[in-house]
Amino acid sequence: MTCDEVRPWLVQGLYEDVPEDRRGAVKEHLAVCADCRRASSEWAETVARCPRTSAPDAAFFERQRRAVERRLAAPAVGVRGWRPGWVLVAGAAVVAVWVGRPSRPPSVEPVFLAQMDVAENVDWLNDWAEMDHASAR
Amino acid sequence: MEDEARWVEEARRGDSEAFGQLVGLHQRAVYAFIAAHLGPVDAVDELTQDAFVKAWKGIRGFRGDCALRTWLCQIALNVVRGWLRAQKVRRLWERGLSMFRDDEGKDPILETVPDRRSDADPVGTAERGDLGGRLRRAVAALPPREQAVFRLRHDDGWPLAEIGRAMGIAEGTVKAHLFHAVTSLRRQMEERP
Repeated sequence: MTCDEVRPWLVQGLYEDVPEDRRGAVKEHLAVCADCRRASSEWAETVARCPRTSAPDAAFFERQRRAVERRLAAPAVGVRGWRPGWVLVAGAAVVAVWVGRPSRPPSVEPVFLAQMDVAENVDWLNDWAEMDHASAR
Repeated sequence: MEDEARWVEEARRGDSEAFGQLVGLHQRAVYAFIAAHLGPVDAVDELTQDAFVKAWKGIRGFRGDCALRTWLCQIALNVVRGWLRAQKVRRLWERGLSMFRDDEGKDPILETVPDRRSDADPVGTAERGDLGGRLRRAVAALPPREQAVFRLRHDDGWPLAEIGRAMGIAEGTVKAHLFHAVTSLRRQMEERP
């Protein structure tokens, strides 16, 4: 085995993950390769000094389990709680409000804009008529 | 395992008590799986609950093609991804709000959001000088998959094959991630603080 082949096994060896049929070859390589022996001991030191995050205690998981059970028992809320019937009722209410809205007198501004449109159209028609007249001549 | 199969069958028929037994059986693993991806943040507890609530809603779709724990971890992975996306949006939002900060550089809205950066944490600041603290930060700085593989193997002792199944990657890829994680941590350890 070459150094490149053996080194991943060395890391797995830190966690005793090297299968039986590979152990012999790894040991043989380490016996003759000082570089890999040094690398292996450095990685072992790193792993040994790397703090482990401790898991929460049993009381935490008991609280968590109760919280999950409460959430399973709680009725759906918010958008998920909507039913098709409620959507129809809400839609009908919107339509009713829209239809029943008080009619407003037209404001000055739309009338003015409408007049502007007419004036522009008249100008355009006049221009067109003049061009048509000139071409006829 | 016989109990698990029975509880799964009962849960699929809508028995929430049976599902509660499954929660008790697997909550430590799901919690560890989520913590391995996110590190020790408070959200891990709620995300673990979210994963089980989603599992309850989808338990009828569980056909037993894989181990229940693997299936739960796949749900947990989706929950983690959703949370990370939400965090990304939150960071963008923070950046957008930063232009409205007051004269003292404090934002009244963001003051309510806990700051999880190590430099905002007095314990983290105190640890900065020692090796354990440096290694802990080095683990947190690993690429996400390397970090998850390393934490699951180092902190929780999961077998490599199980890590691969839970994360949906080949065992060979798990081994490669573990190798890169350990060699990267060694390099960090050799650097001067």
